[in-house]
Amino acid sequence: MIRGPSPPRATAALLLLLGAGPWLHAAASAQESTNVTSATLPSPGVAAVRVLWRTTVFDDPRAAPFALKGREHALDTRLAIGLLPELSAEARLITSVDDLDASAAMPAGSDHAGLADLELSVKWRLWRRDPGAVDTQRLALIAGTDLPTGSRRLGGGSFDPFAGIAFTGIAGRFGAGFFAGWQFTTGGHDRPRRPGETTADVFRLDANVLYRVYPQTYTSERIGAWYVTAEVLSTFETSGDAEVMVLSGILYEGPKWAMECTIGLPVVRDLSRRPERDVVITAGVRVLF
Amino acid sequence: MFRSASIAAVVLCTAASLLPGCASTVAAPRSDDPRLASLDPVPAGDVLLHVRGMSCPQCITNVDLQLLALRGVQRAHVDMGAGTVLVAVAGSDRPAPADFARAVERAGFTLAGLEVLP
Repeated sequence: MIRGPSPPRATAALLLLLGAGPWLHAAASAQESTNVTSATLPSPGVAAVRVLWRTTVFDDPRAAPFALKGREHALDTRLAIGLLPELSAEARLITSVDDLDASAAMPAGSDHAGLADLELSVKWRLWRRDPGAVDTQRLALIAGTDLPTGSRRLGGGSFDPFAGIAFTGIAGRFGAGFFAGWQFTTGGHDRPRRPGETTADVFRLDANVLYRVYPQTYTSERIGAWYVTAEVLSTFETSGDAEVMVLSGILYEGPKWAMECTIGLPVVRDLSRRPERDVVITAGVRVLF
Repeated sequence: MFRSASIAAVVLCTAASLLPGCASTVAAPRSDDPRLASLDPVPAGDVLLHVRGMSCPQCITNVDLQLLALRGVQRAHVDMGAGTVLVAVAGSDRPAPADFARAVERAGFTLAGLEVLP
């Protein structure tokens, strides 16, 4: 494993992000699947803190500049704060470490560890309907931008604005969600690995379903719930690249904390400008304090 | 490029075919009970709130935080099975039904009814 220095401004942003947490009441946004942007948001004065560990396995047999074999580990930290009943703001920062077996996709002297670009966004709930005690439907607009705060390989060095719309619906034991969004990419990474890291714009279309395994019905007891989840993450870039991943996972959600885990495999990989991902494993917690 | 466009078209059409079921409910009202707009404080004692939309365990925390922020609210106990919140109210400065409705809305849910328990 090779480690490199982090830029001071990105480190300061991380400290600011993590340091803000203890000063806020926290409550995670509810019943979100792990990887699909939801239409749920924290209420005013409440914060939702979420930390996800994501391991991506690359095994691209193609010639340079794509050849990449090994793993990338990333810590994805998000802090969402409710500003108004229908409006929240979110900061997201990813810390990444490489554990590569072989790479022709990395230029000499590249960072193998560091911070990615800080992402800031707002979520505006356009519509909400609660037809039953445990049933709800929500629609939200999301808009934001990447800031050029990341290290050389991990940052794009530019402002990359994005906008999208999310729907979340829950009916009894079933839940479903959709997200469609567009990212305008004004810069590019030295060696792109994920959608949005080339100079092409990205259209994202994601969907998820959840099923509450336990309990069958809620009672007056304050107990947690177990869900199984399935997700489809699709990206279509203006360069012509396309990738569709299918993920399955589990989610435990209690009144005070939650944990989640997914594993994803690509079902469509039509990539001409970045290495292919083989497996993406994500595990995370949401802690209320 | 053609392959990417084809995939995008298939995914878009699938999503579009699922949306009408959701869109048919857009105009539904959140709560039509005029008593929930009352500004008269509730009497001291227990109040039972009927809340819709609490779909998961962490909703309990959202509701708790907003209700306990109201002056005069001593305790709040969510019963997800019944879709109710039992609230203990005390003191001279007590919330009105409109305050409960606003707090539940701020938590992201809908107050459908309110009962003052004997």
